[in-house]
Amino acid sequence: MTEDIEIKEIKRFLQAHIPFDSLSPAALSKAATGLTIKYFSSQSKHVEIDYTNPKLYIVRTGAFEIRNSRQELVDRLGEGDYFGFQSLLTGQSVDNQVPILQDGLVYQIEQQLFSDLCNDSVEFERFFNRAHAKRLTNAPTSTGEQSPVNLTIKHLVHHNVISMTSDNTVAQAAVLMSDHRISSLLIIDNDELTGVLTDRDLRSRVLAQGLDGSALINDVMTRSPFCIDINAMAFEASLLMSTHNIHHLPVLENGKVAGMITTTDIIRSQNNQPIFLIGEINRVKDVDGLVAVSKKIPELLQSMIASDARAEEIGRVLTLVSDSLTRRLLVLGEEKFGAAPIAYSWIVFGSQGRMDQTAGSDQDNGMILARTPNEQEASYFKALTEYVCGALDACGYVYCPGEIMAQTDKWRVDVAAWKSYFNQWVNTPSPEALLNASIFFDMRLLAGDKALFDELQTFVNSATKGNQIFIASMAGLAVSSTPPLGFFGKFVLERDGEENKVLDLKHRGVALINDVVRVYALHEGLSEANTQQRLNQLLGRKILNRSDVKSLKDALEFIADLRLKNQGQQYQANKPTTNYLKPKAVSRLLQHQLKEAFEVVHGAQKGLQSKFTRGMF
Amino acid sequence: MSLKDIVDSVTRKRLARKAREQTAIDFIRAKPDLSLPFDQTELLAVDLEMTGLNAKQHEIISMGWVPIINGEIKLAQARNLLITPSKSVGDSATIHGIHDRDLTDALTLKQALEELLHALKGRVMVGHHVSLDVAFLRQAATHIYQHTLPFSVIDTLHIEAARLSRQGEHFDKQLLRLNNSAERYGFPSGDAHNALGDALTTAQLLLAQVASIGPPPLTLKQLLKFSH
Repeated sequence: MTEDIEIKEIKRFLQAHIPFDSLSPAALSKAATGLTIKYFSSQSKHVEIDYTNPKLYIVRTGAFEIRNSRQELVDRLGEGDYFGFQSLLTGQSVDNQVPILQDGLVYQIEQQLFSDLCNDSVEFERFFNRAHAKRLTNAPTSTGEQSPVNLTIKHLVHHNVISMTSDNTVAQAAVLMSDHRISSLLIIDNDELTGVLTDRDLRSRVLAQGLDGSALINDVMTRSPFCIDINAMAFEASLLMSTHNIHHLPVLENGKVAGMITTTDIIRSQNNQPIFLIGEINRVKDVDGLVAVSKKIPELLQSMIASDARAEEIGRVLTLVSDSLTRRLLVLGEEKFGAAPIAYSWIVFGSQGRMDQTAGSDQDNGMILARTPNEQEASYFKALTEYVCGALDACGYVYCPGEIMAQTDKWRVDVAAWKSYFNQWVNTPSPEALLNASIFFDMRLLAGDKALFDELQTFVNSATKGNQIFIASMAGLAVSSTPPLGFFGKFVLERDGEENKVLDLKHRGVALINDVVRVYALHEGLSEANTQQRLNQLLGRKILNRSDVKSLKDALEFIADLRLKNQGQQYQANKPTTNYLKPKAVSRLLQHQLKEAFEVVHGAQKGLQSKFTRGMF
Repeated sequence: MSLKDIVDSVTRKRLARKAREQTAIDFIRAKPDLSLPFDQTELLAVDLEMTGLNAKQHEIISMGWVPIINGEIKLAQARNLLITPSKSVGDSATIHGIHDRDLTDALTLKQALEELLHALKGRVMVGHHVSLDVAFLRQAATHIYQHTLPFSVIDTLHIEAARLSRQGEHFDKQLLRLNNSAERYGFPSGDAHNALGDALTTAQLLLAQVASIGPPPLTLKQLLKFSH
C-alpha cells in the first residue's frame, strides 16, 4: 500500500519542476515521501539556516530573497525556486541571508536524500552544480558539433606540426615529407611561421626551374601563406582555398601555428552547402539568376538549424551569403554601368555589419565616395546603387524602412560628409541620433576601397573612445528597454498579432545584449562589429570582468539559438517566421535557462548603468 | 497544576488500571509534556474518513496522519490506512471516493487503531474540527477495549475561529472549513477528502497559525487553550 502514503499533490508539484522531472519514478516517490515541510513567517525576518545540517530548500508558497554578506540582492525566489544547495554541495556555510518577504511553505530535502537523488539522475546533480556555478551554460543547445555546416577547423586540424627551418635544403625537406607521407611542410623560423613548402613547390619551383636538392627551402617556399584561425568554420577555409586555388592552409591558434589542414580534410568532412550556394552566386550572370539562387537561402537556414549549428555560426553563414550576393551585384553593376569613375567603399550596418543576420533581415548599407562626385559621377553612383539595392530587395533583403541604403543620397557621400554625420551623432546626441548610432556604429566594409573605410573607422573610434557624454547617452539608451522578467522571475509576456501571450526574443533579448556590448566596444574604441567578437576582445579588459563577459556570450548564444530554433519550427509549420516565442511551448528546463539568460541581460544593463550613466538616466 | 491537569492525570491513572491491552496501556501512560514550546515537541496531525457523521451509527474507513516534529512536518512518517467496515460505505463514497471494493483487503478497525495509538503515543493530536474524530476514536476504543482513551488535542478549526473573531468582523462559518482556511494561507489545494491529504493540510495550517500568533513560539498548553 505504498502508494497510499504518497501525497500525490506534492509528487505532481515536484515532477513539474526542473530538475525533479529528470528523476526515475522510484526516486521521485522517494523525494515526495522523504521531504519535510516548514512554514516561514515574515515575522521572523529571515530563514535560519542550520549549516551543520544543510538542506535543499524548495519554495512551495511565499516569497523569499537571497542577499549576500553585503546585503546586496542576489536572487528573488518564488514558487518552485531553490536555495540552500550551495552549502549542500560544498559542505560550507555561505554568508547569504534569506529574508522572508511573504509567509510560505518550504519543502526541505536533507543531505542523504539529496545524495540519493543525485545518484539517481545525472541531470539532477548537474542542475544544482550548474546553478551553483551560477554561470549559464548552453550545453543542451550545442550538441551538433559534428554536423557538417558548423564544423570548425578545430575538428579537422592535424595537430602534429611537421616543420623545418628555412635554412634546410629541399632534399632534406623531401625526405621529411615522404617519411611522414605529407604533401606540405610548415616552415618555421624563430617560432614564427615564415612559409609553407608543398609538393607543388617542389615540382614547379625546384624541378621545373632546373634546381637540385641542394636548393635552400628559403628560396623556393611560398612566403607569408594564407592562414586560418583554429576557430574559423571549415567552410571558410574551403572558401579561402577555392578562391586562391591553394590546397594547404596553416592553422593558427592565438597567432601561433597549431597545425595544417588540406582540401582533402575538408572534402572528407563536410557537406559544402554554403559553398555551393556561394559558388552559384558567383557564377550567376544576372539579377534573375541571383533571385533564383536566393530562394535557396531559407533552405540553407533550415538545414543549419536542423543540424544544431550554433546561432553565432548561422548568423555568420547567412551574412557571408548576403555579402557574396552584394559583392556579385557590384560586379554585375560595374559590368552594366562601366567601371566606377572614382574609388568607393560599400559599407554595411546593423545585422549585416554585426554578421548576425537571420531570415528576413532587411538591408542596411551605405557608400563612401573618395571625394565629392561631379554631376556625371554622381549619376553613375546613383544608377549603380539603385541597381544593387533594388536587386537585393528582389532577393529578399527588403528595402530598409528607414532608408538607410546606399541608394539614398544622404548615405552615398564622401568621407568628410560621413565624418560629419558621426561627429554630429557623437557630440549632440538627440534621441534620433542615438537610434541611428545603434545601427551605424555596427559597421563593416563589404567591398571596394579599404582605405576609405579605415579612415572613417579610425575617426569614429577616436571620437567615441572615452567620450563620456556620448557613452552615457548610449548606455542610457541601452538600458531603456528591459528583458521580459518581472517580480519573482516570472516572464512578462506581450501579445503577438494573434493575441497569443509571447516573449519577444529579438527586441527584449538579443538586441539588448547587442546594445550593451556596443557601448563597451565604443568606450574601448574597438573596430569589431560582431557582438561575440566584441565580447572576445573585451575579455581581459578592465571595464568588464571575465565572468560577466562569459555569461553574456552564453546568454547571447542561448537566446539567439532559441530564437532560431523557434523560427525553424515556425517555418516547418508553414507559419510566418517571427521573433515571438510562446514560453509554454518550450520545456521547463529551457524556460528556466531562458530566465537565467534574461537575468544575465538584466545584470549587464545594471552594470552598464552604474558604470556609465552616473544617475543621468 | 491546573484543575484540568489534575483531572487528566486522574483519568489516565484510572484508565490505565482498567486497560488490559498493552497498546492501550502504553498509550494511556505516555502523557505528552504540554509545557514544551511548539518547536521542541512532537505532534501528530490526524484525519479520519467516515461513512457518516454519527459516531454511534457510522464507521471509520480510513485514517491518515503525519507528524510535526520540532516544528517540521515529516512526510517520511506519514501513513494512510484503509479499514474494512462491518457495513457498506453506502453513499458516503461520493465524499471520500472510497468504495466497498477498495476495502476488501483493508485492515480491521482494531489493527488500524493500534497503529494509530502507536504513532500517537506521547504526542498531541492535531485535527480540524477534531471533536468529531475524537468521538469516533472513543467509540472505536469502547468497542474494542471496553473503555475509552484520553486524547490531548489541538483543533485548528478553533484556532482559526479565534483568529478570525479577533479580527473583529462577523464571519461565515463556511470560512472555517479546512480547504477555505488553507486557501487563506495560500496553500496548495491538496488531495481533499483523502485522510492523509487532509491531515497534511491540517498540519500545514497549524504551522501557519503558530507563526501568525508567535513569535515567541507558544507552548502546547497555550495552543491547547486556543483550541477550546
